[in-house]
Amino acid sequence: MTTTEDRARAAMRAIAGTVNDAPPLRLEAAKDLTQDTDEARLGSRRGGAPRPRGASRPGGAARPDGAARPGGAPRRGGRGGERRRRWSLLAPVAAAVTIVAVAVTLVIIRDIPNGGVAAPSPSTTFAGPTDTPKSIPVGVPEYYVAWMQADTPYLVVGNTFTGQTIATVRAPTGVFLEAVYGMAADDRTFVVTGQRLHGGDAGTVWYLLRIAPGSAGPARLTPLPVPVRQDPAGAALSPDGTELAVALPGSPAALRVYSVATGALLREWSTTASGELTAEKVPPGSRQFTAMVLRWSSDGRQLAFAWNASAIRVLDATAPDGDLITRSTQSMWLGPGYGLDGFTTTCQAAQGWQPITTTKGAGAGQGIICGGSAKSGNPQRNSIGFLISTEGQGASYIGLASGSYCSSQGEPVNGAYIGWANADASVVVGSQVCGGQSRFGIFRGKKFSPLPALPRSLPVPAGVMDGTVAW
Amino acid sequence: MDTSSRSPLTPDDGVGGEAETDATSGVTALYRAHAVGLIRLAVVMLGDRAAAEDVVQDAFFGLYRHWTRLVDPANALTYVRSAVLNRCRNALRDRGRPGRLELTAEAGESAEAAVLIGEEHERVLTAIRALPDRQREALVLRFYLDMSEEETARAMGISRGTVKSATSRAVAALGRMLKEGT
Repeated sequence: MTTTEDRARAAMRAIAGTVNDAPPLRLEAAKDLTQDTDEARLGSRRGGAPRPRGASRPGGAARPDGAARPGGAPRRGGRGGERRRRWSLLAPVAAAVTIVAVAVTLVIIRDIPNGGVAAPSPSTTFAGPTDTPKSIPVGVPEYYVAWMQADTPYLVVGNTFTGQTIATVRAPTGVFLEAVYGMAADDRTFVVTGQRLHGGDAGTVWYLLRIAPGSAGPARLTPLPVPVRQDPAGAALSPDGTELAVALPGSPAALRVYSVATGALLREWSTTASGELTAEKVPPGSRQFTAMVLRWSSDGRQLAFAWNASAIRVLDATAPDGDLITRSTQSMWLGPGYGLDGFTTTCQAAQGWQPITTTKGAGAGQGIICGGSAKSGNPQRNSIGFLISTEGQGASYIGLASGSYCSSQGEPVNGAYIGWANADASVVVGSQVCGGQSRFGIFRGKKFSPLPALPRSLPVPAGVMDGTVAW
Repeated sequence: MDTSSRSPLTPDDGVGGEAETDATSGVTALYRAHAVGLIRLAVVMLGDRAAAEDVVQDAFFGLYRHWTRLVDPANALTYVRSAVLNRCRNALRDRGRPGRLELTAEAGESAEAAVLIGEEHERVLTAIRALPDRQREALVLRFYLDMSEEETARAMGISRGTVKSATSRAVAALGRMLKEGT
């Protein structure tokens, strides 16, 4: 039965979820105010500070993002320049106001190889529902790179803990950016793929994206000599950043490892077994979850891959060339079927997964943590958690790494999404999505610490982090 | 546990001179990181997006004006969140309390929000806004922001025990109101 508390939580989150952006901050108006209201005291009973005048409705001016909304979706009804604003009464003063918002919303890459100047950031959201966690678990990557859907897709480099945009990376001329891959241990190195649309070298192009927050060149995109011109089915950068695993599309399937420095082919496994390297089977023309197909283990010794949208298999990354299937072992199957504490749990590779080593349970050892959801039949309850499956000593351990966060009866659950997990999955950076509302943060056992929202260019739940954000 | 309501500000003058640059950059950074979250908090309290944005802008203006009096910049978020809560409280008072609770959207929910969140949530939010100040704020901090009792106590400037009782009473009152409203 839904409790009053559950109803209150759901209602508050529902209305909070209607807010995904903030108007520009205009501080200059405040400088005109001389009255010191000292409203800072907690529990003040004063009638509030004099309303800062002089700033016409932020909506009266063009959006700092250039009015472009992700996916071309129109801003929801009525929030245009005609929006009523009480502080617009002294609008003439606005002419003298310096709009600090420019500093708030515009981030320019000062030095990128293609010589371009990054476009203003689109309507990315800055923050989540609360402040950042008081203690950041060791090892959580400080920076992420988000692939942003647009007529010309681009990348946003952001700070995981503050939500601050470090840089916006525009695609090199003539290139349509397609995906970003992370997981390098230094938290500063990423691989980016794109399609060169014209010319003799049309096809997939590879880049190394190095970020240097605080420097004159906060993001630098340089070409990589990877000789794969077809659309990859997946890619993953090794933890030390020296090797790049590439899954080739279609059948027969092939998995290759290239040297990042030289583009030399180091190892290759292929198979004649029926199936392909894919995390989820999607209709032709749909966006492929290429970022969810390959993962290195944190020590770089193993390479895991999503096989035929039905299983995660693990391969010794140093194994000699040979058959992809016979040289690998299945570590987790995908889809529903795991029963746990009365819940039927589902592993959705497209919602994130990662090889781990856990000490939990009889099956302690190497395994996989996977995003997904869980439902029970009677009473009907929804749960969000991360599924862990390990194979060790002939035993398996299956467990939810995190507790239930979305238990309201009847509330639709999209599930849990994994962006990053540490080696034993005791710390997970991810999102929980209930009823179309997304919360992003750090999961530590049963504890959830919200983080500022990620930039998003696709609607929830598709835009939560299903391969569009890399750490 | 420090549950005092001590202001994070010191008695000093407002922003001026060289401090102005620091204040601008400091407040701007804080706004960038927390504006959406604070507007969400205000929307939960007020039910109206425009009013929520006003409240948050006002709170940041207040922070800007008092920036040089901030003892510890780490307390800035605490300060501005408290300012948002204070302003929401005042806004609700200005709006006037209904003499009798009617579980409709008329207690402040904007038509836009009502359409977006659905009838059930709208009823619950209307009831939340009809709670006494302390109960409402405790409920929101505990169940929306997921703050611990200790954090809530610190934010509201009351004891942990008071947070516990206020939250408990809020849930009970909310249950009664929703039951009566059906």
